[in-house]
Amino acid sequence: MKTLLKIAWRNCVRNGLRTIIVISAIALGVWSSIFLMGFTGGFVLQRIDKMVALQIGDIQIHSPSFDYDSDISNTINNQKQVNNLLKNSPSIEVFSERFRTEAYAVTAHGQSGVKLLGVYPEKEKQVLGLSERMLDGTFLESNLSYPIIVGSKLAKDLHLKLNAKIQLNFTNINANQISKNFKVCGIFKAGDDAFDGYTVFTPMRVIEKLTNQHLIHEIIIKVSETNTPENVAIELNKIIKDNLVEDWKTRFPEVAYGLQMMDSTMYILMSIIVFALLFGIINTLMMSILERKREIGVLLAIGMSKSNIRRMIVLESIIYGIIGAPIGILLGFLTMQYFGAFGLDLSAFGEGMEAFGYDPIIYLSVAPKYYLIYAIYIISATIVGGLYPSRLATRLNPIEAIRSI
Amino acid sequence: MNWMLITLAWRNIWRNKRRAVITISSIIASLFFVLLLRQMQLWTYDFNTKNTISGYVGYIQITDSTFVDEEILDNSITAQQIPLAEIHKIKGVSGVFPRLQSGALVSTGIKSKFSGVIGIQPSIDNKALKLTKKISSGNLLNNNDAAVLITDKMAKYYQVKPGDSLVLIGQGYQGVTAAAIYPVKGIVNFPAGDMANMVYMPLKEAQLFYGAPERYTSFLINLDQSSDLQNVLTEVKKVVTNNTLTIRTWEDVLPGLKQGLELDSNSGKLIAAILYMIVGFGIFGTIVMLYNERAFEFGVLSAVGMSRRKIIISTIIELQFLTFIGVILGNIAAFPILYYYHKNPYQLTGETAQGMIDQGFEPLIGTGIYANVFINNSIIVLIISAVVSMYIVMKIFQLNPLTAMKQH
Repeated sequence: MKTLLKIAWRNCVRNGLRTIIVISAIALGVWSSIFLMGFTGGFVLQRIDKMVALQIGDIQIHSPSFDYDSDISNTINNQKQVNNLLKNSPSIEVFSERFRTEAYAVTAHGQSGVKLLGVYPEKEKQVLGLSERMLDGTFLESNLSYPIIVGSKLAKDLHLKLNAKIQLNFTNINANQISKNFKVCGIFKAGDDAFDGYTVFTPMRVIEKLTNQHLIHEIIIKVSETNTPENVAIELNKIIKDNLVEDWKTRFPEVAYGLQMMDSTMYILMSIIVFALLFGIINTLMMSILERKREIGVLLAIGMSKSNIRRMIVLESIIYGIIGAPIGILLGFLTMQYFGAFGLDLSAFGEGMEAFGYDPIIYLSVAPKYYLIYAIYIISATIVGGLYPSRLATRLNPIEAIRSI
Repeated sequence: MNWMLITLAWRNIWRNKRRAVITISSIIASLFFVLLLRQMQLWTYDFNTKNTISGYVGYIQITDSTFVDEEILDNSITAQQIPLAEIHKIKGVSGVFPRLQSGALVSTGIKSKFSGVIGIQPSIDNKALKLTKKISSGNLLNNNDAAVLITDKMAKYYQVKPGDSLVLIGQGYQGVTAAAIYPVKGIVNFPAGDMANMVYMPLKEAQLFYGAPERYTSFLINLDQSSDLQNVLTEVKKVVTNNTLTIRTWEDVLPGLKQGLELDSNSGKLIAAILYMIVGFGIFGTIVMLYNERAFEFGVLSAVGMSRRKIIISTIIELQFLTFIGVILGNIAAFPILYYYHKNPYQLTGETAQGMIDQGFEPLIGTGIYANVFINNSIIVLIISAVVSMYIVMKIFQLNPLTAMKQH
């Protein structure tokens, strides 16, 4: 085996240019596709992280029928009991109770449908990071009788500024219309038009004054650092029977779907690249065998076994992968470290991306497992790529091969 | 004489059949992937922009200049301001669609929610918005109906069916309060985008409801082909002379959509570039072998007096032939699949579909058969091959016949 490896290595070195071509193809292919993977990964993860941190929260609780009957009377069941359970749960860092209804907003400059959320500002600030995303004003820290905070998109559509008036209309529990003028005390920007154009917050005290009731439709939970939303949701579901407890992935499968799709995109991308490289590897090996026909004929004639010749050629192929893949992966890794730390500024495309909830600066990231998977992919490809040419070599007739030029 | 060089090149290709086959198949495989990817991407962009813009925003939109900044009924226009007949005459215009678009609180009494209200002209819009295909229950509107169409999504929310009534309350033209009760005449299926949260009403009824008779918020111009956009825009700008009006393309109205698509498209181009780079290396490998194999022969040819120019021409012809065969076969291999999915787009289901709907796209995947994608990518491969061939040109120029012949 050692001798075979030596022969294989010397064969690779003998025609240096050819070996360098294959190895560069592998290294550059791997490098550039890792870059692309990091780009896709960073892009998707960043968007999801942002949505969870600013819009969704780790876990949400609703009444079981809330989704198909989001009526104002469809509140959380056994509110007090749930509140106590959550307060005493060690895996929950903080939670925020919310009133939630569809409302109709009117100003002199237009009208729009909004999701009206009544919150306890102090709690809400701890659960969602929205208070750090204020363009103007404060997160409901106001002495006004009817303060409200709105998203930047809604502010733009309805020409709202700080202290501007906005009328909200919604129906109360008896199907009577409630109409009230609110004053804008803050404008936030989560960076997602669907959220910024549609969500408004007001303190719970205001809602209680308007509805004369204490209505809680939604509870948003932030789990403590050592726990994952999935585990805490399972745990809570065991003790909270008559409400629906969902972690963000269950609640918003379409958001979590981004993660899944990213995974398949990575595999598809790697497969396409590996497949293309396979052709290059086979090509090179075939050339090298055709060139060495005589030599292989001699080896066969003096009694080298066919399986050894086969091994020798597959080894050559593996050498390409063993040198090329790590170089590509190392370059990819370094690129990831650089752009992961400093980010890749894409503000030229900024507007389009922000409309879809993406940041203009992308911090590239590739899950470490992909480096390993990619390496395995490439090495396997070199083995597979070596098989066909090696069979070709052993099918040579020694006598004819020796005579051929 | 030239003919001889071509014959020589052709025969040289097949001297080493295996090499030819491998090189050609690597070109076929890469081109196949790239064509599939790009045709799919471009089809998706075209399909979704067409869906989003043709009924809702229009390829070209004419509104009052104040409406751009403030989309309210007070900034509406009248039909007299628009030279409709002349716009219709412009080549490439498939239709002009007047719209009165606003919003209202839509309520069943118990449940209320704000939603967009759009006044359409059923006689032309039923076809333009493909409502005939999208209707899932009830009937389509007529021009003079005092009834509404709602979407599946809304029907589910309000739990209403055709025949039930909805109350609409909104703000009308110049501060008028708009309120009325309308029967639901039909339910249409718009799974995604802004059209999914919209009440459709005959234009006349919408004008009545909002107290804005003979007024329109916008006129949408649709095109036969999206590639005509700039030409038609120039023509429209010539005939619409009223300077209180603003003419915008969908790219101006929805800059986010345009840039989002461009960004996605760039990732496809990047993948194509990586594949082409690998193919480039593959062809380069072939060329290096080819030279090593034939250095002796080139030496002999040169020694017996064949000019280097001719040797080079013959070799380049050979390589371009080789690439060309790969390019042609790659196109032929991809075409049937592209054509099939062009005619029968694939309907996604489950979470994948939901994910797409969530992003505002319809869960359909098809492929285009855009001629320029075939042509551009084929040319790119030929250029790559030509660039890589420079190696052998250089080598032949440097060739010393004596050493070349002795080496063997």
